[in-house]
Amino acid sequence: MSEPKIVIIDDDPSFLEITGAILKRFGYLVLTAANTETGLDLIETEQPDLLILDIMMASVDEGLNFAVKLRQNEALRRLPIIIVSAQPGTEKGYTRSIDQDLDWIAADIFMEKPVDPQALHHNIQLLLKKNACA
Amino acid sequence: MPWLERLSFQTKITFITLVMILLVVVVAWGGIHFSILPAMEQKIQDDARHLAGSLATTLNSSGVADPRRPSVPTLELIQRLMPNLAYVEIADSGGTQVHWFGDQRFQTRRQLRVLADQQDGMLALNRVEGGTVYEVSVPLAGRAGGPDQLLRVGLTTDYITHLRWQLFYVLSVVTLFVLVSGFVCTRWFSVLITRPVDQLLHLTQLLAEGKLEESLKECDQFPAFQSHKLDSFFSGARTGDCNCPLLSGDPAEARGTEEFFPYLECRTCNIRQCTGKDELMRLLLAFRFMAVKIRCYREQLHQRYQFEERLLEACPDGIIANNRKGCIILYNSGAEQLLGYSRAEALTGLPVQRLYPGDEAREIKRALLSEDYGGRGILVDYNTRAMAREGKVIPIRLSATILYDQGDEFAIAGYFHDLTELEEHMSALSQANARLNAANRELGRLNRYYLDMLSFVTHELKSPIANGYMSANALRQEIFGTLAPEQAVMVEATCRNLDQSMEMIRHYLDLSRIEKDEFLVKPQPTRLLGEVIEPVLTALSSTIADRGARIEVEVASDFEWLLDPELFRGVITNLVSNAVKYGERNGIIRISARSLGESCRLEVWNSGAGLAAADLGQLFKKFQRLPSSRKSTMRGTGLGLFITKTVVERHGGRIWVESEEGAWVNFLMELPKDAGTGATSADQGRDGA
Repeated sequence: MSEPKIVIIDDDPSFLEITGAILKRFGYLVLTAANTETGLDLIETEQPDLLILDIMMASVDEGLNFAVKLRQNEALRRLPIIIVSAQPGTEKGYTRSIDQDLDWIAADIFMEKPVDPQALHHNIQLLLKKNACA
Repeated sequence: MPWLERLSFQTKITFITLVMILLVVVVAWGGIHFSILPAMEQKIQDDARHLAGSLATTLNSSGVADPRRPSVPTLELIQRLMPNLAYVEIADSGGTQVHWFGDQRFQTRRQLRVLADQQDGMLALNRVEGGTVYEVSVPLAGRAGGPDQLLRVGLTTDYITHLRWQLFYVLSVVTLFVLVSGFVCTRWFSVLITRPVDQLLHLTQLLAEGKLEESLKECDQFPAFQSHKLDSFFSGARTGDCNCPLLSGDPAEARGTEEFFPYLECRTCNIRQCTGKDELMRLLLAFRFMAVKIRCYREQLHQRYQFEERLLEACPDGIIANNRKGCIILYNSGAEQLLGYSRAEALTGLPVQRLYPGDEAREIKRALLSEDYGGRGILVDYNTRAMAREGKVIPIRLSATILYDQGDEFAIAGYFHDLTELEEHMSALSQANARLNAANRELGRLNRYYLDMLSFVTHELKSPIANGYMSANALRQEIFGTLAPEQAVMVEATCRNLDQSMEMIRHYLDLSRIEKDEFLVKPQPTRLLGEVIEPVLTALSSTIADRGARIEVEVASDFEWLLDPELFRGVITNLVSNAVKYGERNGIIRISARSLGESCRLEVWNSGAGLAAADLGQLFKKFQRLPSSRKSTMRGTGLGLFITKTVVERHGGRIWVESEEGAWVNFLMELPKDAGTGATSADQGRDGA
């Protein structure tokens, strides 16, 4: 069985580098993108098993909008998404925090930075299993 | 009789007295003339009748040889017995004198006036020169056929005439004496009465002329008021050791004795009884008391006037009153300073309208008569303008009132408060306020800048620190291979520092949100154990384990309360972290929650060093780090408890701490049932916007 393919989209190169290195150690094939446009190309071309997405990049809610766009795309709507953000939702003007709004935010799991590597690994495994079952 | 009323009292009394004396004399003379003298004449008439009758009887029955001639010795005897016997005459029926005895003056030139003609004889009055005679004619019976004869007996009234003149002389002398002595006595008595009255009149005139002191001085000089006389007057009459202040006439002593009215009611000297019935003395005393009282009242009035005058002068505001004609009648020095007119100028015909520019005086009168400024006839704090002598217009605050006398307006009094300084102050204040507003805006801008910077910096710091945290944790978790013991120590220290840095960043972000009023609270029914406490304990498990702390949770699994679970996770994290950090190693941390009915009580208790009583009140302040925490190896922002307190208060609750130094610390929170009611104000405000 091939390594699960994970795409990470974040404008922070350090995060990409560190998370990529950690996940590779956990046995994942990691692809990274610094913005959503490159990320979309990567997703469309590489067909990853999971997406790790930052929220605030070029705009404050670029990640959220991108996730919504993916959910609206029939081909990509099943892609599991973990949103990883440094900011609680309230800072961005949302009336509720992101983890309380996962029902409308187009993501499966929200994790606030700093992320514990084991917890990330655990969540990735959880979503991959869930997706495989589905 | 008006002419009598116009006379002086003395003359009146003298006149009346003399008239009365004369009347007495006239009455006495009348009594003598009409009563005594006629009685005496009647006696003479009776004596004449009696004598004539006796003689006739004697002559008729005697055996005298010549009955027509009574014996001379008999008649002489009779004349000696009756000195007023004027004559005895016997005449025949033809009227020829037969016998005559007596005074020859009556023998001729008779002027008889018959008074009574009776059976026993005829009484007639015989007036002759040199005297008057009552004559009684009695018929004698004729003897032996001889002719009838007539006996005439005459008694003179000489002694009555003499008595009359004697009485007249005596009465005249007595009358003269009585008149003279009456005049003298009356004059003396009237002078006795009128002198004090005159003095009183004089004193009253002095009083009326306002010469009160002179009046009292003269009053003191009354003989009756000489001290020794006064003492003697009252000696024996005073019932006690009285020193009636009003008797001394000293207003200083008399002051304060308004309720003490010695003339009427002095309970000590009982002066009313002392004065007895001597009306003059009582009148003088009454006058004296009245004068003393007047002097007291005048003193009081004077003092009152001086006080009011000083009050008026001391008042820094202008006080002006004008009469109905608009003439100024009251003008104090405050008004002088304010308006520049001297008092003499103001009080000598300066119309009050001149004190206001334009039609301001009319406007003020209109306002005064309206109900708008404190009621009709009253003006309270009416801002207007006055005009000074040199034409300068001064802003003033005017309070005025209409003064009435028996319902008629007679004056208007006003209080002028100069607003020039106030307006200058207001202007300065307004400028200062503008500067303050500008500074405030600048401060607000700087504060926003600071908050933005705080937010930006902490956020920007968060990402690299989070990356460091992630990589260090990856190393610690030996994802990249087993670490040598020294590497493990280093990585652990790095992780610990990054933990603290992350905590600091979270606190600063929370502070930023609180300061920007973006700290939103979203209460919801929350299971305290499952949604708040257990996640926190899980997150802190490694730290708790490192310190060897024993956690005791006394919260029912189904205990639910209305609160924001995310924020309370922060609260419990902070309190448990503190308990772990500052509590004793291997100590006990107890978390409990229970309902109190309308509120719930949350407690985080830990054993340990505890807190000094003086530190308890400082704990929840921003950037507050207590000496005990500074001694700790743990670093903190000094914001954790401030944020905790803010969260609890935004839930409408309260938090406090109890401690026994050297033993334990307990943080207690009470949250009301309707925790969410006031908690989302910021949120509602935003929604509304």
